[in-house]
Amino acid sequence: MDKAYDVIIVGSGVGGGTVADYITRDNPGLKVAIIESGPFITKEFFNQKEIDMTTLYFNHGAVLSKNLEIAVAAGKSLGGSSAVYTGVSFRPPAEVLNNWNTAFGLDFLTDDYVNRSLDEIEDEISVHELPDSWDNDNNKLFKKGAEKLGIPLKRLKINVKDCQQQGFCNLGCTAGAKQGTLEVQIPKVIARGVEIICNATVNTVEEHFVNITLNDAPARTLANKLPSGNYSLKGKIIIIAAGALNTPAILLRSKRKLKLKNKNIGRYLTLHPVFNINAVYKEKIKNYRGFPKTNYIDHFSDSEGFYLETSFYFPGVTAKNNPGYGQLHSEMMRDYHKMMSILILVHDKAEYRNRISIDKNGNAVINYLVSSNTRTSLIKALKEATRIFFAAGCEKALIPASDRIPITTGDIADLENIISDRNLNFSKTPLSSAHPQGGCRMGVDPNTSVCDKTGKVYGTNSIYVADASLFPTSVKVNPYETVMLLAKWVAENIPV
Amino acid sequence: MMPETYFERNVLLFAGVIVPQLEKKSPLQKPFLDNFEKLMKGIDPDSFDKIKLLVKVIGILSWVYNLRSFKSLNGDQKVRFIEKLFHFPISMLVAGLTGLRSLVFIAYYGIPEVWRDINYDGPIVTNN
Repeated sequence: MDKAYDVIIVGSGVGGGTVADYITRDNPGLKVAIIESGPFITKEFFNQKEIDMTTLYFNHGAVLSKNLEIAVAAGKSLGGSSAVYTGVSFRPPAEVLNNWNTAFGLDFLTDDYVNRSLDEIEDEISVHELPDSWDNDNNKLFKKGAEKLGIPLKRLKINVKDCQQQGFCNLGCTAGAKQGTLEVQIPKVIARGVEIICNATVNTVEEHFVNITLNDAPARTLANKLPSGNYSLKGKIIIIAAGALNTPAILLRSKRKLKLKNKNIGRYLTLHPVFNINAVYKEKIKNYRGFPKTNYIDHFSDSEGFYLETSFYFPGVTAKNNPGYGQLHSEMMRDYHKMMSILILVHDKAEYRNRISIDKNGNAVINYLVSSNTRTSLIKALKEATRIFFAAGCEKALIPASDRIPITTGDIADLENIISDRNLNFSKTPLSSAHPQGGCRMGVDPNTSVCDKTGKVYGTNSIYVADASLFPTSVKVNPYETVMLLAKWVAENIPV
Repeated sequence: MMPETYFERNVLLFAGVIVPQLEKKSPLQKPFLDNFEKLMKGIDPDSFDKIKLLVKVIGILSWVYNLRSFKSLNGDQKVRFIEKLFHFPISMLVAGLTGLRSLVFIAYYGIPEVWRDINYDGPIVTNN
């Protein structure tokens, strides 16, 4: 079967959903298809259970790097990662956009364009600060600890509407409160006639063609309209928005067909490495209820290269994040209802060596080495977060890179020695990442970039990119608003 | 479902060291294996093969280190053996064990009966 479209968008996440929304707003007759590798699944089928809902991710939420030192979480369902994010909404920092403008020639990123675009986007997806009354105990304790140490705190902006405070946004929202692609852009574009083809693996792209394998729909998800099998879909324009893990992999698989010689495809990957750490408070606090994130600290961003955010995870992931195993670990888990949690996000530099490649079967491979700067930032962040735990009133902290498990209040004076680089072993306590960026750098110089400043892949006529893989460097904050900003720009400049 | 295959048996033996509540004839073994199987079904073929290989390697290394099968070690011996493996000089093996440890935790703490032990009241679901 050959089906023909004006535009084919690969990916239904933040990039794909946004680009679909913008190109169909003023073009009612445009024939558009969205190809999604994950299933068509909506809030009615979400149940907040870890075992069931981690199927919303590639590899249950852990796509491992080749050296097994970092596990990347990326959504694999309709709505992409927006179905499983927390909705933390940051505008890209001005210094990052200035760098993209001056070093990479992205001169469209003027204050006027950025502010106008993000005002519009934030309004549409209900970005706002949650009131203090929504702070659960985890957020209250984070605030208490930071204030006691004199560390300035800021409130996060979130894109939720009628949130039921179920606790685990990362397992999909059964109330549909998160205003991600699944709730906002996908319903809009379906109403405009956009065709959604789920369960489809994109094998390769060619000029004006997307070659897919349609797989069977998993149980409890919407059935496919077409029989399973291989299809070649024709499109005047192809926009790849499969995320920073898969967009580069699709281009690498298609290199021969597209006659691409660009050595930068897949390169300059950044992962915004994360440790999620826990401590035990003196009394029951039930942090698995309420909205998990309302506060953050950027005080160490410029000087030490990290952010601290509040967070709280489901039991299995919490167990995984706590060090050790056996009897001691089980005893610590009995205090799940007393646990306080902090997320450490480290700003990593875009390095040529860090990249997406493909294996012999064409699957994405993450090649990522943690730099010495990142290690230094991680150690500093672990120490600061531990100080916050104890200042908040916690009795024990469960910290990777520590030679004491748990660290107790009596150890505070010796924290500089207890938490150190010599104990940082990513084979035993791997990092996580939920913000992969780069791999298809946008820039005006084809020698250092993959896409031009309209998002078009250098050396092609009809292939564009519209997701976080366009980022020339790490945006340093939760990236979805920046993805929407670039996807909007790509949509506005596509010749349809 | 009780462990029927070499793979399931050895996963359960490893899991008993990671989460002692899964040792011996625990009624939690069946739901644990059910959850573990669900997780295995959802991972990519390459990772699936690597986990199967790792479980085989654990079995082989038990013979190398202990001159006995993993299964025939008593509780303390199993703990010491796994501790030794977590200090193995090849970092990829240690990282693999860490990955397997993660799967064990997610499978175990995904069992609703376990939630009571950790004072978790279970999920709130609205609008279904």
